Amino acid sequence: MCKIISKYSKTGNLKYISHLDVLRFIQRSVKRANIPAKYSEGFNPHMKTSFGFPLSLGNESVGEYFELELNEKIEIQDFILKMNRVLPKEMQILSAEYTDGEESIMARCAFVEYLINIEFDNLDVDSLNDYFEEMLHTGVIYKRKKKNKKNKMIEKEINTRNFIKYLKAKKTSNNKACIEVVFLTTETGSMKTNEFMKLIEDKGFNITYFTIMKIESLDKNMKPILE
Amino acid sequence: MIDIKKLDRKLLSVEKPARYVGSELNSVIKNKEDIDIRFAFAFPDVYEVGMSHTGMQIIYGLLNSIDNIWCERVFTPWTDMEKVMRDNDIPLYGLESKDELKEFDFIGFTLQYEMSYTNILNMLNLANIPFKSKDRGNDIPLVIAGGPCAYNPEPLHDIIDLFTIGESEELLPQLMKLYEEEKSKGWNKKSFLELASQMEGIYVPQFYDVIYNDDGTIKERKVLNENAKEVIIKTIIKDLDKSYYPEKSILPYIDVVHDRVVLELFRGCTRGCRFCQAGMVYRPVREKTVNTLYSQAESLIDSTGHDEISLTSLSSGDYSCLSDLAVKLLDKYEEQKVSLSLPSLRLDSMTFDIIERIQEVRKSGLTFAPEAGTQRMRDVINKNLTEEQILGPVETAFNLGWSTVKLYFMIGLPGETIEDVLGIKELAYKVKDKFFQRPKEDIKGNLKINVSASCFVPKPFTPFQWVKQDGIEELYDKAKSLQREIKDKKVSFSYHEPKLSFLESVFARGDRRLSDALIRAWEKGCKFDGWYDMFDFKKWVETFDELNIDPSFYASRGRELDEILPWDFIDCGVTKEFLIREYKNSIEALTTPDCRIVCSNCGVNNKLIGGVCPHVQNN
Repeated sequence: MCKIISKYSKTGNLKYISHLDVLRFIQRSVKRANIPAKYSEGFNPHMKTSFGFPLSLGNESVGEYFELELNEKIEIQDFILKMNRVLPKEMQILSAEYTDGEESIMARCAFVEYLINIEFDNLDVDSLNDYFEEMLHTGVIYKRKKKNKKNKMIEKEINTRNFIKYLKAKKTSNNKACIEVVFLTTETGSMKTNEFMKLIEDKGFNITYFTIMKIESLDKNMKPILE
Repeated sequence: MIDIKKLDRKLLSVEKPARYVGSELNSVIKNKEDIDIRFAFAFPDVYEVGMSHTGMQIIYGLLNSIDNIWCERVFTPWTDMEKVMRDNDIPLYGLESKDELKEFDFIGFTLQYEMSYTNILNMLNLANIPFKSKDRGNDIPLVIAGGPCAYNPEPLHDIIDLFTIGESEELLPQLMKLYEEEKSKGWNKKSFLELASQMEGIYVPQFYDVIYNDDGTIKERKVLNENAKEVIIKTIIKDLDKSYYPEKSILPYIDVVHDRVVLELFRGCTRGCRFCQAGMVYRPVREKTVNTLYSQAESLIDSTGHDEISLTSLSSGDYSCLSDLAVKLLDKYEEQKVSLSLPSLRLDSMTFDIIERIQEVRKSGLTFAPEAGTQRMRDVINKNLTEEQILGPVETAFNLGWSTVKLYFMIGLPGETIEDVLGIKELAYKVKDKFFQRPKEDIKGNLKINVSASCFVPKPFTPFQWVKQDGIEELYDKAKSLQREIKDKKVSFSYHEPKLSFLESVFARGDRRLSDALIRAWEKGCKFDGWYDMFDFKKWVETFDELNIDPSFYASRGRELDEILPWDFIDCGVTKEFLIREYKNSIEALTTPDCRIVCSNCGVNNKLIGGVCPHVQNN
């Protein structure tokens, strides 16, 4: 079986494109690039692809992954070149390699690293870091509402301690700071960036603007899935 | 540029933010310093509808192919986004540059549907641009419009500075050239409009006045400006093979209504259905050659990666080289899993080998449009379709394995009786019988017949432009009696909202006095009138009441043949004599043959081509 795993970026205005739309867009790009993709059999043949965890709407990323099955082997450099020629600058293949593909991207992904740039008028980064320490060690508990299988709203309690591996804020200028955070991704779920931002704002930290960049998806040894 | 940071986080609170950010593949970004003319192509409906419109892709590509013009897109923000924009003082902006519309030279609306007129007002308001042409000075963009509804431009006469009548692929670049010259001389809106109104196909409503009789009909039209023409003749593209067609189309990230490569096989239609405005105003028929279409398909597939090619026209089965083209495209693209679709197919003209080949790649439902239930009614509207010509292809389709069939009809057609209405049921049941009358071993799949009925809306430049539309109650009665009568699990029935069709009819044949009604209705909150969940008929009734306008004067009144109609000053090529002849034939239920068979002297060849129609020459 010929299967390529690729790391790609999703930046700029593409942060407003949902996961499902990205899926279709990449499949079309494969087509435009004339990559010999493999299709499923049947009346509605579809391209054999698989993707990592969906990126939240509004987040940019330089650490997204997808796998693609091919009918015949092609040079990896050729694949990257052909794809990038047809992809917009906001979405580029950063690296790729052949994979045995035994474990899915989602199963391989154990941690996700983000950089969050924040802007503010008046914010004490030291006390923000104090709060981060609390999240990491003591744990901050919040409630997540979601629908269960029977479509009933249920509340689930989340403790930040169980889902954050690393968390630190650094002041970068007078009214700007950068937060580096590594979340755990487990079978039972993970913390979402918007929940994290809400915890900060609910604590009274007044943020005027922020951008979120996913830096990498990491395996259980904290190594990028693809270098 | 609008405040991007302000927009940025707010966008996440609206449904489908990708509607409002641009950046799609093949969208065009230019350097503002190289640009003399900034044009906003405005589609007065949501992104997904507008992005499915081929005309937009043509004009967008055409204008951007000119170095010093930058054409951008703007659509109507959905209500959630509108609220965000109003709450945060974000004006309506072009998707490409994010500059507010006020900074543009032109805002060009496409008029596809009367029920989008309030969206035009809403968009102007969101852009902080005054509604009325006379309130817009030299420093405000020109607001222009074109498209099928421009054949009766009068309800928008106060709002639009200039209309283009007909096909504008050649006209628009000329208009831009004129603008550029005028701008370099020192800009004056009025003198530009005067020069523009000398061009063929341009209508500047402020250069005319209309005087009415006591009974509300038109007494006369006056030309107020010596530059303005008495009659506006539509412009056409004589040779579609040489005309501009985009090599690339913008590829939306989100799912849009029609997500595929669109090939335009030909313009015009020879069938002469009497209810159909497109069939009259797009005459004469002009086909593209297979070679042109084939190379256009190639470049469009290469530039988008679409997996479907749609072969469109008013009646694709009439394209003289259809099987040649379809086979060529299928041969090339089958391997790449690209499928063909053929909307607007009259199955009487269809060769089923093509359908079968199409089915090999992907299978879709089949749609038939008998339009009317009885032969008499079909003869009245000149559908030129017998029951055998409907049931024959249906049977073939069933034998080939189809089991889902859509049937389109109209109710409220001129001279319709209750027998004609119930004939819709009869025909649908005959279709059902065709399915089950086959040998048991051939019957596969689960039969589903979807019958839908829309309410007839008389349109300008058709033989029915003089007839009264059925009243709302009458239409409801007809629809509901069908609903009562169709009681079969295999047959479902739905109908178009009569109130909406009534309003559409008011504006389709409306006059200048309706401009104020549009503005008043917008003030009351009317927008997206074509969307069922947004349409608020009560507000429209209030509007007409307050302005002392009787909407039934426009919708439910039969006109005398010698009445001056609001759109009479436009010449679409087809003569009034022809329309009258056809109207009289309809009363007798006399049919007129397809004009590929016999020329019926509609007049379009004399005025617009000189000589005989191209399809006749080819034959």
